[in-house]
Amino acid sequence: MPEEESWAVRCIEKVHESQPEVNETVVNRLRDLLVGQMCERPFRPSELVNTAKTLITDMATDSSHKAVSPHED
Amino acid sequence: MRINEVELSWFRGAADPISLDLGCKSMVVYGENGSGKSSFVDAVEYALRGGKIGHLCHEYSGKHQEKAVINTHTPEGSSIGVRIGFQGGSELKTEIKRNGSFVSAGGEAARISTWEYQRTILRQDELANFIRETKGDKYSALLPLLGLHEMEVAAENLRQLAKAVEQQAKLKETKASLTAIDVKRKATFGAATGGEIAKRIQDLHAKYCEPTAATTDLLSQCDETEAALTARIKRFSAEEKQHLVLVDISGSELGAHVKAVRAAGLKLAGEVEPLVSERLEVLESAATFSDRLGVEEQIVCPACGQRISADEFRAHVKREKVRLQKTIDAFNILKQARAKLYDTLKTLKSNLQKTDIKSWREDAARKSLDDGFAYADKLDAEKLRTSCGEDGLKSIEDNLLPIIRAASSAARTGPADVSQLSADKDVIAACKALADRKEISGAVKSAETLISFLSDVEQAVRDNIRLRSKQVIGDISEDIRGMWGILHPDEKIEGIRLYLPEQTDKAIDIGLSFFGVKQDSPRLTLSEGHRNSLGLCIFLAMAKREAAADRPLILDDVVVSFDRGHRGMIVELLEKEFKERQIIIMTHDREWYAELRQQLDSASWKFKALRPYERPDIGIRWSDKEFSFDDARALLKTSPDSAGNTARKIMDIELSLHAEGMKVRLPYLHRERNDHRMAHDFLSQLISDGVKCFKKMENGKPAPFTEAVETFREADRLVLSWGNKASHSFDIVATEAAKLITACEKMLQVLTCPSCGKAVHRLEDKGAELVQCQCGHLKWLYSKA
Repeated sequence: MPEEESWAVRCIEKVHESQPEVNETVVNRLRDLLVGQMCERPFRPSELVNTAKTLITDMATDSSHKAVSPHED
Repeated sequence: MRINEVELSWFRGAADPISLDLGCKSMVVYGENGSGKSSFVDAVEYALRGGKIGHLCHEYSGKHQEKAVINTHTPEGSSIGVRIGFQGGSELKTEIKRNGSFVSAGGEAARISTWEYQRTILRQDELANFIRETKGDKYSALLPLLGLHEMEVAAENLRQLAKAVEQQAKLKETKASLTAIDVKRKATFGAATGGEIAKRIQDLHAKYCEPTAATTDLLSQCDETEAALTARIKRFSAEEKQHLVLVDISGSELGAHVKAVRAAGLKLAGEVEPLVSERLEVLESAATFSDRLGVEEQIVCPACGQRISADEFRAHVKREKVRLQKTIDAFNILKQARAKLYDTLKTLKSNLQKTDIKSWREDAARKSLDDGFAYADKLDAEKLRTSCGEDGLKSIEDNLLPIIRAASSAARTGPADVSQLSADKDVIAACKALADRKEISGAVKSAETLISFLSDVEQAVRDNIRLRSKQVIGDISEDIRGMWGILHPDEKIEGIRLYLPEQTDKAIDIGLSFFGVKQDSPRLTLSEGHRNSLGLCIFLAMAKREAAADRPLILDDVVVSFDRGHRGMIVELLEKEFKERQIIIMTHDREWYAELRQQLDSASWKFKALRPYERPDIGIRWSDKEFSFDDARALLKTSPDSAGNTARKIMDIELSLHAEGMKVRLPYLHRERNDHRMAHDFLSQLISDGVKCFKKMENGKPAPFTEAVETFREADRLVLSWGNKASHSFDIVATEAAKLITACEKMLQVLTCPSCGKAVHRLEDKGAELVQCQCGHLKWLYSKA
């Protein structure tokens, strides 16, 4: 594993261990970003917006935080 | 990559092309103040910073540097520029136009632009810069050495991404709507449980909907009940419809919102509010701009084109935000209160303009409210959202509260079933909002989890940066301590180290032990001289990290505040740590220049002296000798006594160094007089010893060098008479001073071999007593005397 990949992957995995509620789709996407363009240059505002939207959608994909019944206390 | 040559043409102090011919060696350049030494340093900085020279003040750099970069007396049509030749024959040629713009040609432009200024050039006024800088600036200065650029970029992107998620998820607004739903639930249902609320909805459904409707899902029951209520309202009589609107108006909490705005306004002094508002707006824009900047990026000042470090800018914005945090909080509370007031006014205005209450408004009994109705009709609620002073609030209270009171009074006497229907409608709306709450709450939790994850990954990356930084900083600290130990042996300033302050990212500071007491900053206890010395060590330690790059080091007049003892140790430091690097030393200190000529190895070092600067059209000129009486000659016309005095001072320095190199033994004098020997003391001894000791080779045998001794005698005679006259009685004339200078120059010249070009001195590796030039043509034979 190349050096830049190893530190990025280690960081993500370490955090994921303590936050398992974050789903694999998000973790995998962030890992790909972190070993790629995210450490190459600062993101442009449009890239940040698009990535943020994608991650929010990813979270909803198989998130455990879906609404169930509207009147559960 | 070594520099072979730096050629200036009408650049800064230079006129016609003048070249600093290094021949890829290290060099010491001597020149009195203003002689043009720094013009060569400026040229290198100009090349490596792409046309910028940092020490030129703000307005004369960047786009307006034609005022400072071009010689003021450049003739029309002359070519202006800088040419830097490198080892291997490549070069970078920069042509500067009259308007300050420039064009560079040559393959080395890209390579030289990778040289970090902070690790290539050190000027006198920059010595203590690193010590003076903020912790953040220190970190930025060291960042390229840490090799953590990728991690820094990733950490910054993660930070920005977390913010983008917060914005895209509309987290603040969504959380505010959750709070509003909770308030509404409490107002409508009190402390009722979910089951009790469901029971109430079921009852309302049964009350208003057809018995055939067998919907059991609570949300569907709400929808059906709402539809049934709307249908009933549509069938209302004019009186019932009027009553419904009046109930809505009477429920307005306008009075409470006005009070909230007033209370929040009190927290901010009314008179400073516009100023604060404007300042926060600027700060907010600056923060947004700052957030978009990347690591190590620089900002171009729109006013003058000067480049500013992005980190510097970010740190400033951060400091301002912290300073204004309380104001920001108070201002936000006021903004929220105004927003609520705006919403309430908008609803009230809309209700008051409904045709359903037209007749109520026009009733003669409510004539006293006409002004209030007129006020409401003209009300521009949008304006109040951004600004509403005490006068505005008072007008709202005076004009609108009586209407609300009248509506409340009228609502109390209306048909009971309409009031009930309105209340039931509210219950259904509150229940539907509760249904939305689950979904909104889920989205909030999901966004918060994502933000927390991104922040934790950012922190993990920063922890990684910290860990690796510590290692590199530890290595640099070790070098700093080693160098400090060379410059300051046996001094009680120890344990110098760079360190990463706890709980702070992107920060580095310097710690040390001062006579056994730990200090968090050198500024607390170190003298200016010591700080400068430490600054030099830090510069050199950082430069050492790039040893593999083999870039030159340029030290421009850095020993000004060093005393003789510490100054003398710099040679040892350079020889020990930078033997393989090209070093260019500029100095106006004649004594140090003379010392360096004696101490540094001429195989790898060159020595050049600049002539005193006369006029811009003549420009910078080299002296034709390593040791130069040009400074003295330059004064002959205007001040012969100064010329004579300068010549005598030059002789004091040069002779003390020659005597030391030749191990000339002077008679012991009383106490401290031994430390203040003058040219005459040395000359007397040289004459006395020279008759017996000074030989030159003739036909393979050493023969007495009597002509040399004659030059000693002549120099001594003139130094004693005219040199001292120049120093004390100031009545020496130009011809006498000129003769003194010539005699001194001639005297020093004979100590240098015409064959090998080296001065007579003790050969360390050829026996303690062998004193001669390098080739042995000239000898100073004590043992055979």
